[in-house]
Amino acid sequence: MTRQIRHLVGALGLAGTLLVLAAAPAAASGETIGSCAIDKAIEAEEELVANGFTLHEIHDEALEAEFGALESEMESCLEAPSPIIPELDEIIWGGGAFLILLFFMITKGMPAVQGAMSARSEKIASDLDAAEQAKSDATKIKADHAAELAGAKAEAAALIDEARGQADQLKTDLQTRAEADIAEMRTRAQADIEASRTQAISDLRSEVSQIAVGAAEAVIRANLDANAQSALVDAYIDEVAGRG
Amino acid sequence: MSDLTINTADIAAAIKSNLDGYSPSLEQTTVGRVLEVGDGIARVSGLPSAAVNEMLRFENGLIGLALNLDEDSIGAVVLGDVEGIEEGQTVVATGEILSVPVGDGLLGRVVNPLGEPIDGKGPLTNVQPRRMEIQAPGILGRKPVHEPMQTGIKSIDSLIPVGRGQRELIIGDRKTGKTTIALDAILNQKGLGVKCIYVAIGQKASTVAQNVAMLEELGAMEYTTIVVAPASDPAPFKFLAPYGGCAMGQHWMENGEHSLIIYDDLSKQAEAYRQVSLLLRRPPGREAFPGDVFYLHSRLLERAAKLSDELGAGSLTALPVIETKAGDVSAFIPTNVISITDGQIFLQDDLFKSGIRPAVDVGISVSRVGSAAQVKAMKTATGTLKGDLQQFRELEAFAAFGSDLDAVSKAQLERGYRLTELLKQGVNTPFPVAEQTVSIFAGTRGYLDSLPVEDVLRFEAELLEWFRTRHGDTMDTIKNEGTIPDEEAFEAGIKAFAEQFQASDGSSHEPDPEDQGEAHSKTVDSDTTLPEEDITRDED
Amino acid sequence: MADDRLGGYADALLAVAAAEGASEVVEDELFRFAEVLRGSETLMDTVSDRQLSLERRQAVVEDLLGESVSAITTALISMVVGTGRGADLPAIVDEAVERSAAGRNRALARVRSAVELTDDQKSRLAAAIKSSTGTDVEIRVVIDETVMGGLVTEIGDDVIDGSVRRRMAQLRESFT
Repeated sequence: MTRQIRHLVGALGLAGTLLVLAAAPAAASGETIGSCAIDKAIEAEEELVANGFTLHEIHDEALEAEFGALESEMESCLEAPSPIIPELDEIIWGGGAFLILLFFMITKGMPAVQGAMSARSEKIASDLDAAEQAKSDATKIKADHAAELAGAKAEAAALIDEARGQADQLKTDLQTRAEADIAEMRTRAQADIEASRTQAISDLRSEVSQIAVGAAEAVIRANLDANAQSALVDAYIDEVAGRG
Repeated sequence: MSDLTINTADIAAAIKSNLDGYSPSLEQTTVGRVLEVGDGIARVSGLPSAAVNEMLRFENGLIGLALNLDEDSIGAVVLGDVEGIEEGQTVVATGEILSVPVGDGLLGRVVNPLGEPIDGKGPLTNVQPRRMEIQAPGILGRKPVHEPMQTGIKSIDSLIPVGRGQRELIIGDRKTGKTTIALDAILNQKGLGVKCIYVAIGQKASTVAQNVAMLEELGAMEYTTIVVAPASDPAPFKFLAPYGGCAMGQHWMENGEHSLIIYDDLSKQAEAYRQVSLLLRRPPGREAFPGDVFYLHSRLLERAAKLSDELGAGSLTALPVIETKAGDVSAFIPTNVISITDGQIFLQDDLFKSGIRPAVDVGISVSRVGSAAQVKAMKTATGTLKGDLQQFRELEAFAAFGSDLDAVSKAQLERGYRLTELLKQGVNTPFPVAEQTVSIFAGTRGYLDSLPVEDVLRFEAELLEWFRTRHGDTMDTIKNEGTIPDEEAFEAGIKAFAEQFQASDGSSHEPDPEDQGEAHSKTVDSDTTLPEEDITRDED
Repeated sequence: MADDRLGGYADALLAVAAAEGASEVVEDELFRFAEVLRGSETLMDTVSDRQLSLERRQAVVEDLLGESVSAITTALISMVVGTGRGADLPAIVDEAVERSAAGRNRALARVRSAVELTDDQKSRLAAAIKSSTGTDVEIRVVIDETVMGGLVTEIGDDVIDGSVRRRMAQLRESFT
């Protein structure tokens, strides 16, 4: 719509401009009324001088006659030429020039104007397209932004979840570590107790055995009378003899 | 404790069970007599059939070790107090070569060099005897070191990696953190299935007790045996302690297990051996050490090995410690042990004093076989770390003169400061390999360059926490498979952390070394111009 | 050095005993005194006490021996103590007894027993040792209460222990 209006406005503007340009030479070819009257007066004065008259010498009758003639001359000057109908030669020249101009306008100007117009309309069309495109782009970007925003929100939520998970992980880690430490300490303490127990038992055992051996020694010593001694010696001698 | 009541029936049963199989018989033995005794040495006559390293029993029950077999007498070291031994007493050869108990029953125990428990936890159970001196496995029984032995110390695991079956010397002056490194290495074996033996030779008993308590507290005693020959022990104990500990480790190695032994320290053992040798009248050599002091250490350290698959693929890694005097590594014992071991970790006193702890001098420390054993992830992370640090050391010396440096050098210097800071580590806080990988990676890729130096360790701690909570699976992969699963994602993870890290000076993170270099130079400039400004203000 | 000096004393003792024609008895008495000396710390301390004059020390051993041993033995012991070698006396006597036995192509068998052995037992023991080790031995019995029962025979560095003491020790060991 706007495009057609623009076309129309453009065409009207062009036509007006052409009209002004075409009328200007016609107005320039016509004479003004003032210059015609002055011309007629100068003509009459020159006629008088040629007739041997000076203004002082002119008699009334003659002068009156002359002025009457001038008056009519001037009236004729006022009557002609016609303001509406130009003189014939002007019409011929003006018409010729108009035709030539028209020819050039039709052959050269029209295509140029038409080219410019179509180029412009194309440009406008493409501009419109681009605008359309930009608009759709903008909508798309807007959608994208919305999506991104949603993504970011989701990511943030995920991060928070992750952080929470990590915190939980850390907590359980610490907890298990602490528990492991406690268990380790407990087993170590257990092992220590066990070790000191073994130590005590082994100490006790060696002590007991020492006492037992000591007691056995005392018993044996008491039981070793002369007979037993001599039997031991004899057994010894036999054994030594038996070794060979 | 209620079941500790023992009644007579129990005693009778115990005695009876002990008497079963007892058959008294004549016993023919060969006895020797003590000719002279003193300074832990006894000279014994007789006993022509005694062998070297055979155990001799003195009349009071003490054990002696036959070391010198002379024509008509035996020079023996007394393993115990010589007070109770008198001249003329009889000595019996036991026919047994010196042996120590070995086996899993030793774990968690503190024993003396003969394997007798001294921790009051009762007699050892689940152990078997084994000769103290056993020849090292042969060439065919070994294979190249290829598994990492993680010490948990960043500067060592990244730059001087140690492999299982390697012998890596820890050397340095007194009070430079040698024992700390060794104990950290033990702590780091928790859960890795490596059984550890810590042989404390000639140390203060209080120090040993402290270390035992520390290991106990951190749960490391479960897989650790401690062999102690404190300074108060006679010299023979001190020189035998490493062999006893080594026999225990070899037992595990031959059973296809992995063990780690620390000899802390071998210089004291050499001194004890020197004392024994001089008392046995062996001719002294350089620094009065006997001629076979090299063999003393070489035969000990050769027993550390990585066994071939046919022999069960077990390993015994040895970390001997040597104390130098005033940083002199060209003394006799240090040069000997350096030449025997597969590399050395140098600890420098001046580094220690300037706050770089562990005071490992990465420039002159080497590991000759360990790089083959380094895990891939760590290799990736380390990258050019060693070169960077070396250039930094050179530049640092240069920059000390205050000369102007170009931007590249300045950037190198800045990175060097941060890497040095990054390699610092607290006592008793070994880093698992995955965490080391993360922090070293961040350092070598320049993520620390824009931080103030004092923020580096905080950055590291927070970075590791970040990775532990957010990239737990990546960490697990590094730990279990030794590789970084996806390097780009890994680096992205570090970057993500670096971007949100708040530096203490409020500057935001810009991981660009060039910028940082300029920024730094600017601050330097402002330092120099500040006084001038003050002066002009005064004039105004 | 020390051994040579001890050997000198031992030879002197043997020569004196042989010259008196009572070597058997003197040797036995010397041996027993040496074992007493070895067993008694106070006596040993006394004879080697440098605070006491040599005469006092000699007087102590002479009083102790008195009439229980032959005069030659007392004189010999007194002589050794008089030279200040009291502390070395057991070693000197051991050396002398061993040399004497060696001179008769025999080894010395020192037998520890809780009780005195009969002559029959001694000769049977010598025969038994001869049959088992192939060496002729001369039996010297040392009374040692700590043996408790049975015998302990020492020939040179070899010890054949069949005493109750050892059995008790074994028992004790098996308990610990």
